[in-house]
Amino acid sequence: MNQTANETMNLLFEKIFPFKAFKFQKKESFIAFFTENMTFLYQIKYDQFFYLSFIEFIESQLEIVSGAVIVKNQLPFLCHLFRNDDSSFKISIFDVFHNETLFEEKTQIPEDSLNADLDSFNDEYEIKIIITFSKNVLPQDVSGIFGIIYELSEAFSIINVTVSERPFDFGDYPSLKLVQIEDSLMLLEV
Amino acid sequence: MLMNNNEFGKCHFADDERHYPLLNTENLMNYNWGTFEDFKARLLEGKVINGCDEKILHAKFNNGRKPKASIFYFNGRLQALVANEYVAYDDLPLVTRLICGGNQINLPDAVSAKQNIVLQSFSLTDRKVFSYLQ
Repeated sequence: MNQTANETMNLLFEKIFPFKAFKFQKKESFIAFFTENMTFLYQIKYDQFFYLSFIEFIESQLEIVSGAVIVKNQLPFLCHLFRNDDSSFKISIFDVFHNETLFEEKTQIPEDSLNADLDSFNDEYEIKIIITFSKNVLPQDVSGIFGIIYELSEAFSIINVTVSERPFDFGDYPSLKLVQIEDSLMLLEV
Repeated sequence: MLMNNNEFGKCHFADDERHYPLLNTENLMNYNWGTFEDFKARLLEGKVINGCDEKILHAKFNNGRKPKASIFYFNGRLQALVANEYVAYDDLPLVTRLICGGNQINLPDAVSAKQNIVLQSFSLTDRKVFSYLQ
């Protein structure tokens, strides 16, 4: 990798950026990236190998729900939530460059959950993976939104798992997002 | 910087090596979305995906930091709901203000920008190419 491309990759990966991947009406699969970097489309050209591997890996999964790219020691890792063949949910951290799964855990999300979403945050020493999910079967009948927080060490081993025991009250389109403002994490109910 | 003036050939601005390296304009939140196949095809071509691509959508939706998005289906359209940290207009970098204008929500000066979250929702299916999904 030449110096220009290496500098560009470091510039791109200075922040975590989330993505959402989904199949719509059993047709083609889509992926959406949300970033603060207006030159995102330009910069992925310089990291062609990573993004090709990244997109092909996601596409190979049965159903990716959501994920984020985490930068650790200037290397990108893919953190994502996906559904297994048996309808259970798993979270995974995958090293795209070395083609290696560093962490994988079957979550406590009930199999009949219709919606689940993943957010991740990291600082120098710890990663938090936050999964929110609904226990409702019908979208119009929301029985509750719950959350699970996984705290992982720098070596991607579990430090702590916190499970929300209280359902939240929502309207027709519930969603929970975790927003990081400076050093505080705020759980946003929508 | 990517210019945004009328009649300016901005679609292929990034193709001109004289403009390398491009610099990011800070705090401009944007989305990029398309099919897996289209992203792979563009990457394999080795060319820059520009903002005028017919199949990969690219758009700025607001100024701010740390966007967190949900995508859902509502009234026959795909909608994005994005939460982000608010950035006051005066705290935006000069280049951002000059080139891309103000925030869609301007809170009073007395409000601390670092303690507020902005929500916005918008449709992702704005292109004819996605009409077959309707």
